[in-house]
Amino acid sequence: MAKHYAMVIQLKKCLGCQACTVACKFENKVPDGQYRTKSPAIGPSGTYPNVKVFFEKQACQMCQDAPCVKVCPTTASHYNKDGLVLIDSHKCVGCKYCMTACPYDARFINKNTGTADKCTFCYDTRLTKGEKPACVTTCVGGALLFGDANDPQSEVARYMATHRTEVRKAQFGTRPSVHYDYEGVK
Amino acid sequence: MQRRQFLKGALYGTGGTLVALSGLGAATAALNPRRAAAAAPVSRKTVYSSCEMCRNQCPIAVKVENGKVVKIDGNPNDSAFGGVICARGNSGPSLLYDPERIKKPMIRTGERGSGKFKEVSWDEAYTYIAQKLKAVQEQYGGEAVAQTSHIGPYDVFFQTIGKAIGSPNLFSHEATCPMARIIGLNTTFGTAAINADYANTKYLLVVGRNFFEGIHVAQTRAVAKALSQGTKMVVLDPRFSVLAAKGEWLPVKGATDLAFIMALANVLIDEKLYDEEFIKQYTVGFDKWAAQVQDKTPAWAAEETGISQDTIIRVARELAQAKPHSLIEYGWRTTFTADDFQLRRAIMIVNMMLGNFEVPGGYYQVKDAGTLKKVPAMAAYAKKLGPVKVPPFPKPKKGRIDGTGEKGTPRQLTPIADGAVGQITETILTGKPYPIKAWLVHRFNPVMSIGDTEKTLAAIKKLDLLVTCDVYMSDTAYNSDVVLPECTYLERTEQVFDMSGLTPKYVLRQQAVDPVYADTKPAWQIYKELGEKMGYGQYFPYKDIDDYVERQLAPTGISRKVFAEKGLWTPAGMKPFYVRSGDAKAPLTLLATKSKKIEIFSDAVQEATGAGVPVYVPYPQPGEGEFRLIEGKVAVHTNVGTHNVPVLHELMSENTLWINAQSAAKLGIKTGDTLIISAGKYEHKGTANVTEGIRPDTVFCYHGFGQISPQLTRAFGKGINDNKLIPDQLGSVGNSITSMTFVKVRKA
Amino acid sequence: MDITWGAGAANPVIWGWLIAVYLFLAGIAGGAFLTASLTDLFKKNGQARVIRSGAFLAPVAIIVGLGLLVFDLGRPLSFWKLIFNVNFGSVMSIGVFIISIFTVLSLLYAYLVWTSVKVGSKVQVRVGRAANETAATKAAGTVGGRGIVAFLGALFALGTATYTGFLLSAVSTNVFWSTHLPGIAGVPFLPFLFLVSALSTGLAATLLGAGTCDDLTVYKKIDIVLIVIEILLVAVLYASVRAVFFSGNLAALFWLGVVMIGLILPLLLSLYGVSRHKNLVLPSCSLVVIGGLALRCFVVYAGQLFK
Repeated sequence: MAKHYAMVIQLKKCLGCQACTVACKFENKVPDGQYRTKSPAIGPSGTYPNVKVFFEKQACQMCQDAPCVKVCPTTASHYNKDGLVLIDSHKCVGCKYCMTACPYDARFINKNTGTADKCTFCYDTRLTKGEKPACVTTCVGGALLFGDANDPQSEVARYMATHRTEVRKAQFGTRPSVHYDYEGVK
Repeated sequence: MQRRQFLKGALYGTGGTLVALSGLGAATAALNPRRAAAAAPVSRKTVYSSCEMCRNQCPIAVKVENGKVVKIDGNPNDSAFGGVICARGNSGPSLLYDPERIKKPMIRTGERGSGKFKEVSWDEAYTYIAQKLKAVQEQYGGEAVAQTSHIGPYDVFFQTIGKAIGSPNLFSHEATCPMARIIGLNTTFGTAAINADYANTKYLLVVGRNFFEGIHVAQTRAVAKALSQGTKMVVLDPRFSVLAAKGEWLPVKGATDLAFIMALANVLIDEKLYDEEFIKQYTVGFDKWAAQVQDKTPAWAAEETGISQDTIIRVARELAQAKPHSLIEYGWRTTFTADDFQLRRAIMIVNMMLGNFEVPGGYYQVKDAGTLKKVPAMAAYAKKLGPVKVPPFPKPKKGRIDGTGEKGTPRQLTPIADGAVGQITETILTGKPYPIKAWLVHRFNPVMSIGDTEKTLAAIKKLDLLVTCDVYMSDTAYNSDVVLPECTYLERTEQVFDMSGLTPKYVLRQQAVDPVYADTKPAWQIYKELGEKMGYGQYFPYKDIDDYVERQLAPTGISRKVFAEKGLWTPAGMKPFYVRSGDAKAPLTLLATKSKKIEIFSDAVQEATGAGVPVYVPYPQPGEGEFRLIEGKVAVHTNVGTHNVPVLHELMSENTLWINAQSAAKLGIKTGDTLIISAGKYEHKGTANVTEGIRPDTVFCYHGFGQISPQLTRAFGKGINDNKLIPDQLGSVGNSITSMTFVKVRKA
Repeated sequence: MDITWGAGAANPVIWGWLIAVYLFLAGIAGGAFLTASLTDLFKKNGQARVIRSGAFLAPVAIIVGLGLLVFDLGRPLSFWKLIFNVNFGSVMSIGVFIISIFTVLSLLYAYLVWTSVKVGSKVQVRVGRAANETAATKAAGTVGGRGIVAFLGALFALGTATYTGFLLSAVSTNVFWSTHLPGIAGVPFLPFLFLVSALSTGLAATLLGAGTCDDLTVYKKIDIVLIVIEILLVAVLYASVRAVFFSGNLAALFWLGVVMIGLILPLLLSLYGVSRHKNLVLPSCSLVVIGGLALRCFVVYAGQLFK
């Protein structure tokens, strides 16, 4: 059975500490001032002293119906054999059409290569070696689960079977592979 | 695939120079012989070491490719870390390869603070320092030399200089941070080596600490783990911190935490909810404490703290219900008030009322080799590091400038290894009790850390010599006479250090790469060479750091190879050891007090202060139109040390002044407005951050911003330097006081 | 939390003014070519100056536009990869071919028109100027197969003008760009708006280029019709999307640039000019062109700034 890599983010456990943000920068040699993932604060909301705030890790949502792949004029953006949305930087000309199409603002033009760039779930550097993405392994709060959603025994599959998770901007029908559990934060 | 990754790496490494070529793609790469040649196999290795982006020394795994550090992970061999490291730890390479690091020794050529230096050889620098120190020593005596460091493995080497000179005035930065807690623990348990087992606690009351922004990876993870297992957490903090967001936030009135704690004791006694057996068996002086809290009712505390009576009673009951697996956190930066150490003592006393000592989810004494030796069944796991013997140092001719150790005064409680670092600038300026004329500073930034930046700068102007050793041209280095460039933690090996917890643990910092800047050196080498130049070679009897490590490990039988392969050592087969987990009445033979009891009433504190059990002291509150200025940590920065590290600076380059929405509305202040924050004597500009997440009588900013060294080009002048507004005010035991500053705020 | 936490928000404007101007120029090119070629094909004794103006304007506009597009690429020198890596599901990929063919045809057409002018100039000595030009262009048309080029070019000009709308409307995750015709889901709105605007601005630019001319009444009348249609389309757009898209800085651009300068003023001027037989081509057409640019800028930015 084909793999379907997926991530679950338990927002309750995210501390907004940005360890993932920095780990990703070095793992993927992301240029200064650019990010493949970031975790901004959402809030604070409410009124003193009943206040809430949470952090939402944002990156490529690895859509299974990805608007970026659909619009890419050169097929640089594509699905790989494991269902991931990846960018073939040899084919990319940097037209930014994918960036206009991505509802998650997950893409940017890499300052050094001039091509579109985004989270790959660390496919080349870690997944193919059996390691989890750098953000997952460095997560201080333990908020990130990762694995093959097609394997019912995987951490993500078991979690999703027993918890209510959501995808961001479901109205666009992009079918993301990154799932958010907002329990305890909203 | 391999080559493409390499190309990306090459592009990243060389910055913009190859950008133009990238458009041409693979064709260019094929034509460029340099790139083609470099596509040869990559040499990769992982070096286990320990982090120094803050001072917690977390075990790390450093990935090195072709002699370059490319990535840092937490050390996966340490279960407390499990491969995890924080944002700062992840940023190590950004510091390592920062072109703004200090690269050569420098001697000042212009006015102090002009930033004019000439680069010199190490030998010139040593000769200069040695001559100046000798001159001070001859004219004023060895005691006229003060030494301060942050606190760390370098101290052994750094402080040898001062000890050899005969100065008693050696200081750590602890008085500006956890010293009140250290004193609270020392006077109650006879040792400060008391840790909390956060991961297994069922109920956690936190008093002003902020695990999720002041990150200590092992402890932060433990708290996060507890929360994920359903532990309830209550957070007392005038500000809505990230930690508060993950629990129940009680916005306590500043400087009144002790009232809350005493009221908890009152309820526990009143409702007979405390662990009487524990108190009887293991403690002394409970009756005096009970008398002290008798009138500290929840109703009284509600008035003091601004937290409702019902809430106080509920928290007390919840703590009792979960006991002994409930705990009140003892704090990290404990500089709230003049008598902060009594708050820490009170917290530990209430903890003991919960009977949470030496049980899972409670407090425990650190199981280092020395402690385990006192527990017969465990003695076999104790492998004590060898001492590195040096000849006895000359006895200082005078007492310390801060009165540390003087019997019958509160300073008798001040740890001799720490001292009251805030005293130094006062003494330099007044010459009392005697002059300080030379100041050696290692990896510490008093200009930004000892209250009152302007006062510290004025004091520096009166010195004959100021030497600063750092990795950056810090605000203090910028104002120094001699600046010595230390290499970073990734470029040096250090001695074995003890990171024991529920089991013994040794960690070794190991050099991952050669120094990026050839003229930077590790601390051990700098001070050994300086010492030899000054004729103190006998105090540095080891050849180098490897020799030092060998001497440490010799009696333990632990092989150095263990550290190369795993980065740390723990005794094989030993499980986390709590003395009372199996037998609630087990004797506490490891207790380090003279009485062999936990001292709720402390004779030493009685002798020093007349208050053998904590006494409530009401502190002033901000008046009309005033705000209490409090400050805190952010997860992406350490104290004042990382604000210029490129990646971290990028994540957060500036701080803001948090002000409550209602208070701001009264002053017509909106988010983004430029404000003048006035503490009377000094003013500072800042940007308003109007929020619901702070008490109306309090303003807050993250610490360490607004740096004044122009050679920290990124961090220079960005944000609020809270240290300019906080006076250099010392508490009874010499702790700096940082939460008693009242400010007025207006639109600029 | 401090705002700086976790890095600031990314700039929402991914396609900026370079792309807006490119879309505008592609519209001008399409409209100008259609003006020239349809005149050439269908109008006996067609206005030579109009044909020449449109024929020359089209390739210049599309090439400058493409230049801006290439300049806006992350890797400008790799633009050729667009031709060798095709995604039939991508509007841009298809557009690359439409525009490429159009560019070639517009150049060819311009060349044919240009050579016929040269032929004409040789006989200029003998015959009166205006009559000669008409004769010359006519002659060249029949001789060089210019009609075929004009016809094929017209098809691709239509495609180019419409494509600029499809490019944006295909971004289904952009609620503004992907707005569809009211009541007809699946039929995007922008291609119609951009086509009409392209025809209008292309015609206006061509007339500006043609300079003083004999009788342009028929063009002026067509222009009036186009402006009226465009007003209707803009009104439909305004009614069918949320008001937020017309707010902030973009409110001025929309009401002043698109509506007043681009539509209302030129309509009034044209009506006045036609009824009074006054030549108001220069002010009226200039306004139309400026309005067309404002429209592209407005659509490009509004879709990205408000999501």
